[in-house]
Amino acid sequence: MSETVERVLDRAARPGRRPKISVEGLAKCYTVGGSVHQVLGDVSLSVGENEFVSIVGHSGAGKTTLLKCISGLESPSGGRVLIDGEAISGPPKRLALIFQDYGRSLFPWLRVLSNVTLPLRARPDIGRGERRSIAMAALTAVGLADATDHYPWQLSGGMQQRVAIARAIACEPDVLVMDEPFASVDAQTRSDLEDLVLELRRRYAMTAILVTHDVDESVYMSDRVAVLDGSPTGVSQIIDVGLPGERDQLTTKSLPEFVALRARVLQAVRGHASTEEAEDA
Amino acid sequence: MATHVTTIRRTMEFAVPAALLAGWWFLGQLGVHSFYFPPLREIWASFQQTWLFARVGSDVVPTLSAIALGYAASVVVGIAVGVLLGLLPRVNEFLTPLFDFFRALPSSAAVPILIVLLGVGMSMKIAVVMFSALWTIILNTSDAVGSVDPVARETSLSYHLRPFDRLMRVVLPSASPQIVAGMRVALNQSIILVIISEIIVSSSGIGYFIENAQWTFDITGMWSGLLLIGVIGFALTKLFQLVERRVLAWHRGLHRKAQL
Amino acid sequence: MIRTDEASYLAAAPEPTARPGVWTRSHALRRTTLVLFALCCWQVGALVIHNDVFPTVPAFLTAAGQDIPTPQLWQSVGATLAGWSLGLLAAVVIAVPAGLLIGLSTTLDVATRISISFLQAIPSIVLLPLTVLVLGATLQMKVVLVAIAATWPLLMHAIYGVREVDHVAKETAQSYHLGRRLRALFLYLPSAGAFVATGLRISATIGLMVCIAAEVLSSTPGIGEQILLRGSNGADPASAFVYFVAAALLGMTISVVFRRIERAALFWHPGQRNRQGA
Repeated sequence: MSETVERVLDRAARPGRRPKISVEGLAKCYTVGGSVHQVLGDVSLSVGENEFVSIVGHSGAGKTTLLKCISGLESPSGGRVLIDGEAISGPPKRLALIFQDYGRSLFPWLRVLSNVTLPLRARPDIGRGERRSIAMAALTAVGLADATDHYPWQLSGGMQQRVAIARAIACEPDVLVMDEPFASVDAQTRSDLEDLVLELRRRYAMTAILVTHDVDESVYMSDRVAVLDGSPTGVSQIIDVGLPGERDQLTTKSLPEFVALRARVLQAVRGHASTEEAEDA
Repeated sequence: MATHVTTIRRTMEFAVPAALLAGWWFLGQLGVHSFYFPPLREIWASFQQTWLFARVGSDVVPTLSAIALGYAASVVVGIAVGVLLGLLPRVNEFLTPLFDFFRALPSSAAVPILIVLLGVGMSMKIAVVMFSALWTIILNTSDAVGSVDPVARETSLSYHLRPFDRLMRVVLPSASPQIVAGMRVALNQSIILVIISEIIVSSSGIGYFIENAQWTFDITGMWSGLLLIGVIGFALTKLFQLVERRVLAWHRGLHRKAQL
Repeated sequence: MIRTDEASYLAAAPEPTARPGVWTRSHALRRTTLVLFALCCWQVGALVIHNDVFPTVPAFLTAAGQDIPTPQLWQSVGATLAGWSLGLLAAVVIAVPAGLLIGLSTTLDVATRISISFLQAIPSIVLLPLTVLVLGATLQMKVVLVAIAATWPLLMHAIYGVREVDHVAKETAQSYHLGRRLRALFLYLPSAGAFVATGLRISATIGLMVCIAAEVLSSTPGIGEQILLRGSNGADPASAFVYFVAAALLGMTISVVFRRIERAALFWHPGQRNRQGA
């Protein structure tokens, strides 16, 4: 399908209301040595308020680059990102980013509580006592109320990522952006964390963007799945996840709709791979 | 676009030191100098006279040979002992505090004693260097050999590598970054201690020349010697880095990946 | 970008696996055995070498018994410590801020790179004749020389510490809008501070060595001067060895103290944590 049609259909999904996040024709090039490497070609995507969108694609498709552009850590070579209708330049307020590498994102020389209160220090209107209580509330919400005095590296991987999540929600963001947050965590912990994020997003009414390589996860967590593909990368498909709002690891994942959606997403992601193989053959 | 930035960087890198040297030169030309900081032009003249190549044989060679011999002896003995200790963890644990003590002590304090014991010749200089550099190499080597990544060790065991192969192909290569780090420190120590011993008592060598120049108030001569040592120290360090880059290319690549 | 050539210079002389403060019975036993073993080697060595400047253990103890009560020993130690501590202090005051500034500014870094690279390769002891000429065989001369020698490791470590702050941590700070003050306090200070602590340890050790070398070479008051006086002039060789041991103990104390400081500053670092089995 041509991209203009894709964009029209996309907007048709939420008639009337302005999207919370709007990525318009985003392009990103890197110069390595002497050659120019175009990672993102023409990426367009809109995310409505309180929507949960997953971004999937094969390795090297530029998912992380796209996320960095959306969260303002990198500036695009072309196109723009709008949040609440305004183009961003630098990390936007009210947006919290959760990194994959929690070991390096959490500061190892600060205890858990200090890690969570740190971003709050940047807000002059919040006093010391209030900082502490906000942080405690966030840590309680992720189930780590009694780990406040530990150092992050004394905790397991899953718990560390929870601390990172607590740190993010303590800032009361409108938008939660996650870069493969559960990739460095074992499968069982992953399902717990997935449910935690869904619960928190519902409770705090956040818009969410999740980058993942896990197809199951993308379908389970989101309202829509955007597939990055092509060279240079663009959004090749946007798949609507019409599953009921209440997600559950056991029941949702055994629904025939889930299985079908999963197959569609996997096919879309694989579509690139099989064309490559066909070309090689 | 990127190459444009790098050329600017390169020029800046060289521009500043060049500017400093030019400044010193011109200040001298303008007559701004003190007794202790003579004009660069005079120092350069003295340098040419002395070191290109009049006193190379009488002073540069003894110093460089002392450095080379002392360093080589420290490295050979140090690595041999270090590897042995690394393979015997109990002995290593027992002896390490002793080596630590020797490494911590200021080796310049030993020079007068070693002079009485060994005279003022090459053997004294080598002993002085070894007294300083040996412990560094032993400690780094034994630590590195003793703490080979257990996964690497277990892999080599499960593939039934013979002990000798294990040593040469797994243990030593994985220990090499730390061993080389110790060798670099040892090189610095060797240079420093040869100079110290030559300044205290010697009849030849760059250190001796500088000290002699100080006594005879040959200030430009002293500065020329200083400059020469600087150049030698710098050249030896760079040479070491070059060799290290080749030998440890795999480690740099691995390290870089881990940082990303 | 990691400049591994510098990185390895700095990571040089890594401390061997230490067991911090664990004084179990077997540990104490091992230490005592080691001391006895060392004393035996000493005695054998002294008998083999057969020279008064390397006394046998009993001869050493006699000489020590004579020297320790004298004020000269303690004055010498004091003189050495004075030169060392003032020089180290000067180096810290100069090198740490300079290093942090250079690390934070790409312009400064590029501009000073070659100069620093060249200057730090010069063994500072070679400046001794010059400093003696200018300042005489005085405490000031020692302080200047120690300051120059101790500046380089501190400078390099400060620059490196700032440069090697984890970039994921930096991005996190950026995405959470931490201002300059917060970043300095909570990101750069702890992270670079750990490296500066390592540089401090190295500088302390080098500083002591240069201080004593200066005393030996120019007969400036201090332990080094006494070793030279008593040893090479044959006046009191066993006593020279006593002063030598005093220097050794001083060196060991300084090493232990600064290693503790370094370990405290590095408690969070993964390499450090692994060693302590955290």
